[in-house]
Amino acid sequence: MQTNMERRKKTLGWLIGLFFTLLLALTFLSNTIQGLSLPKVSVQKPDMGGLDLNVTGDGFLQPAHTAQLFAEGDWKVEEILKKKNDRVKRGDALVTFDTASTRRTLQDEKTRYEQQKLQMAKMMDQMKAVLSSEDSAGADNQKRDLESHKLDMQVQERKIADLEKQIAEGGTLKAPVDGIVINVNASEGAVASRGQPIVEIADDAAGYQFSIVADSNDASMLRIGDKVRVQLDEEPRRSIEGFISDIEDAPTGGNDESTDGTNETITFDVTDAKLQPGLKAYVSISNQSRSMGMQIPKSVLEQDNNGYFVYTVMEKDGPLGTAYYAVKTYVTIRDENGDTAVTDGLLPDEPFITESSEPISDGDRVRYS
Amino acid sequence: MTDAMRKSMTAMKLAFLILIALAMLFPVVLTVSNSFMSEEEIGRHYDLLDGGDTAAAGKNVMIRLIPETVTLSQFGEVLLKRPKFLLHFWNSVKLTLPIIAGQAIIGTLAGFAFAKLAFPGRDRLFFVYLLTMLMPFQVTLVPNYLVADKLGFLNSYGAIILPGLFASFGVFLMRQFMASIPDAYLEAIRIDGAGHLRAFIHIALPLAKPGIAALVLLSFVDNWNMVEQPILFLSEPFRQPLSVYLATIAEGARGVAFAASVLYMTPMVLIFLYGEEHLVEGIQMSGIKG
Repeated sequence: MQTNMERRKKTLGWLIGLFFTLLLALTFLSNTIQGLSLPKVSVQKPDMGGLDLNVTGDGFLQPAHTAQLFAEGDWKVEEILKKKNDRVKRGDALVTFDTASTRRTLQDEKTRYEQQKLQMAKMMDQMKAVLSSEDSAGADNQKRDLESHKLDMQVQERKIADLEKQIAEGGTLKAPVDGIVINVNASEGAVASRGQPIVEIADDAAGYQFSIVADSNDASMLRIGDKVRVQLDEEPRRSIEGFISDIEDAPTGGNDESTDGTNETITFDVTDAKLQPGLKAYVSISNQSRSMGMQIPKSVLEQDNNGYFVYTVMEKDGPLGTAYYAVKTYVTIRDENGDTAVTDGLLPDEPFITESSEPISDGDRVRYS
Repeated sequence: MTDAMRKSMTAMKLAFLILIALAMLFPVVLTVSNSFMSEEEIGRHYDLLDGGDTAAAGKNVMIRLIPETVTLSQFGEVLLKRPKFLLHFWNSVKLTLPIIAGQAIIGTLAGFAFAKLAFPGRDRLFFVYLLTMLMPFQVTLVPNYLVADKLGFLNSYGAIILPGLFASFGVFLMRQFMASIPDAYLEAIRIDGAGHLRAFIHIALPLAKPGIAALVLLSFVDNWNMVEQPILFLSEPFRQPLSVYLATIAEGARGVAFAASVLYMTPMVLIFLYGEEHLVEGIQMSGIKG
């Protein structure tokens, strides 16, 4: 009986000890256990300052202006003296033509002129006859015919002069400007058509241009006329000065992954003696946005009915140690570029949540890592 | 009275007592059995409590003793996902342990003095002591509060522990126990040349062991269950003992209230079973219950 009682007491004593030990162990582990079930977040502190607005891109130089040279007549191309991409000086011969057909026409015209001269002599003779016959009406008539014939002859003279000039000048196509041949549209022996340019020359004086496409936020600080350094893909590399000649909305592509999808096409003009079309040119323009504030990555911004917000971490000292809570903090966006926004509404040292293992909402307890 | 009549009388008495015992046991059994239900099941059975008067009209809360599925999920929820429960549990321990220890020490010493030492005004003093015990606790609450305020103990456990240490019940119980110790034992040790302290340690204390055990048990039950003092003296919710927290848990999370209650009950039941024999003895000796 006594032993039975003692055994019972022993068991109960063990149970009491076990109960308190269990609760003690659970208390010791409580933060750990709870921590495991909380969403794990990564945080970052915002940088203070203006936004870096970077515009970079490359493009191929295109001549700003091209001189298009046409053949003066339907001539056979005799010889092509300059090839595509050849640098030419003003006055350099480019293409020579076989002007035989025009020369033949010239001869014909000259012959016609001679004929007209003969006819003129004949009319003068007739005039003399009319004057002597004292037929006043007939004399007037004859005079007018003579005048008209003279005018015809003048036309003929001009025609001949034209043709002579054509043969003299058009026989050889010459470069009107310094530049680079960018297109030759003729073959030796073939007749050059008058409808399309035989040779196109990029005009050095007009310069070259190229375009890049940039995010409109990044490009917001750029103005037409801004001077920029342009790197040229040459050996050795060099950079020249250029300026922005045009900024316009670019047509947006369907699979554009930038947030608002508005892009700008920016055109740069460069002028330099040694440029050639097709040369690759790079630009990299760094600007600071005018607005100062807290810089946060755009990826952490969320939006609800009240505007944009980020989740910040609030520390609360509780009886069981420090606890962290996610808090909605509304911010005002003052400026943005491709991936960063400058905002108002955050404190400089306020950590904001950049990543979370689970979706979080306002007031959730979170685990800090 | 015939034998048969006596027998039927006994049977009737027994039936009556069984009925009362069942009525007493029912809430405990219900709590324990419901603690093994899932939260969802609890929610279904007791959802009427949320609806207010209109929803409850003509309907009753479903009282089920047998869970659809026996699960320990409530216990897991309370012990693993609610560190607050553990916090309040230890608050209770922090409040109860010093009071029990203090009462045991002060009660035995004072009880010995009141029972076995002769000094002028002893019985009158004891009578005054008894008076405070006769007064309901609520009467002394206001003076207690004022004293705690003056001592700067408000909002700390001192405000509860200090009055608890000197609770008159402990002194009364121990005096009754000490009084039962035959004077002859004490006279014998005095003759052998022992003083009061030696007599207390070697004679009174070993003989009063069951009394101390009873005091510890009764005091534990009393203080583990206290609600008014913490509410009055402690303003921060996180300092409250489990007894107060238990009342709030039922509002927010009825699903785990049963498990929390069972866990709350467990140390009391275990300690009660552990010291059962002494408790009965103690209650008989003091003639009152705790």
